[in-house]
Amino acid sequence: MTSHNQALQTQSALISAIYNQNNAHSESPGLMAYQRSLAANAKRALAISYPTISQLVGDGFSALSHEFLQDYPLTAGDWGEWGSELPLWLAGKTALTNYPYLSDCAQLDWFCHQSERAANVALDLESLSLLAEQDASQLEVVLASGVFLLASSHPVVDIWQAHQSSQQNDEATPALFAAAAQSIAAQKSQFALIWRPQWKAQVRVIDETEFLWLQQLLAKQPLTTALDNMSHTNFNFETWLPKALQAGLFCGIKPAN
Amino acid sequence: MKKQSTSSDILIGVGLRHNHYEDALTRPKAIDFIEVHAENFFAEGGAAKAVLDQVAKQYAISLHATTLGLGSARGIPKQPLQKLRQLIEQSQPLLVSDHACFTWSSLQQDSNNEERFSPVHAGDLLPIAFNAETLDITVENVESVQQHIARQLLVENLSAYITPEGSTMSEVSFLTELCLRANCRLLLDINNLVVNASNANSADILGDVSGYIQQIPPQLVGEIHLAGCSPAQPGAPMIDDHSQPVPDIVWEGYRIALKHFGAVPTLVEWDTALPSWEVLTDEAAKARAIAEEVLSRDVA
Repeated sequence: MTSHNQALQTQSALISAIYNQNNAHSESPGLMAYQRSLAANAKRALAISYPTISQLVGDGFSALSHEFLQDYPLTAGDWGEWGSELPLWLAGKTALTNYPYLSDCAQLDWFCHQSERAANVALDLESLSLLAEQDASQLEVVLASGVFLLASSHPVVDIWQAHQSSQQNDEATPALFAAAAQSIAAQKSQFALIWRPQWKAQVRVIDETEFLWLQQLLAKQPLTTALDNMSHTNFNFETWLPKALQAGLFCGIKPAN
Repeated sequence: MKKQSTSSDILIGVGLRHNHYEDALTRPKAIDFIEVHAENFFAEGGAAKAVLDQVAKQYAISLHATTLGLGSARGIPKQPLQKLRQLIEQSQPLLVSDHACFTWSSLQQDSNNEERFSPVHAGDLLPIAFNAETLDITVENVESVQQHIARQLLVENLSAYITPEGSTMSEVSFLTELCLRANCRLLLDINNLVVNASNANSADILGDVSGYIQQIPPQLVGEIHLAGCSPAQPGAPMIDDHSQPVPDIVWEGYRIALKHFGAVPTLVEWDTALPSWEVLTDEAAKARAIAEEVLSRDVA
């Protein structure tokens, strides 16, 4: 396509004029319509992927999405895939230093978004028989769809739960906000587990031991290796397994790759 | 050249949006096909994918893409093409379509004109000039897409809010030539014709729509879109926001199109300010009634 110089230049000039909205008032009505559409689409997409950040930032979210779009234009074509850089981008914003938890809250939102788009994993209870039939060094635990882990120096799960509750107009919302505020004041840190038992991503606080265990599984360590790596902790596989099964976190066993 | 059609030939569909997922599955209506925006189902898994699987068991599916940008001079990246192909394999659609526009390009640096973030997607359907160069580009892109998805593509005419410089032919000549050269077919959006005529301050919008339709060889049209949109705001162009019932002028244009093209699969689109499922499907019923009236008269 490199020989199509005129069209390349014309199209690049138009898309640049639409993305560069600084002089919007001096532009034509048609160009302004495209600029408004781009800004509205970006804000809508970011609010879907980052519901907690959208609520936390409130009226400033339009400006935030606009600024982020200038730094990270849409490159995948699908708005659902746009915005992975936001957590790191927020961490670099000196104007937001009074809200040090914002970046980790964004990371949690993004993991939930990714979890709900991840490939489906079916529960395979029959595969449990492999535990009795094969050497555990040759086996791997299969987790549910879209499992992510987040170690945060902030109470990200408390903040996330309060804002989720607020979205659903839950009666518990004031109490959850009060608890989140207390956790922030106490500088509480949290390990978060994100997983998708069915269609909606779930989030809960886990302890450091389970965090380390799940890290092994996400790294696709063979079962024996994963258990050996947990030997310095009080982790108990027999206790963990039924709870993980009930929570829809455990989906089966498979031969290790 | 006119196709001889019977009313029973025509397929009538509606666009499916998130708010209507449950209604479409639990309250089926007399609809021949459901059209979805392909990108809404590009995720590897999750609820949307499960819904599409269920919908595909009850209705024929039409995949309407908005990402490809068939007139993009810098070409179409492989990733969206691969995702579209996977979705086609999964849903076995009746129709697959995208637009005669560009979406992929490169941003210019303000100071030195260097490219950055290449390629960038416009997040919208941007108009192309209609000339020999853009025709070559679009033919090449359409052929490449058709080769990749191993089936014929429908290409939709656009509602445009600016007029790119450099056109040397009319839109309808461009699209006709495109269909003949690339062996694709046209998805004719009648509201887009109305919007463009309105934004051009036409004194005879329906006359313009009719003139456009009459220039298209009937065998080239594979689908018709019907929609309504908000009135233009002062100082701004009319935007094709698919937020309203199909207006009378579009129904009139549909009658003209049916007389010229025969029984072409027809879709009612409604994407924003969504009505109830009943209101949407009533619009489809109206399209069917008009088609049966026009086509039965045509056959007689």
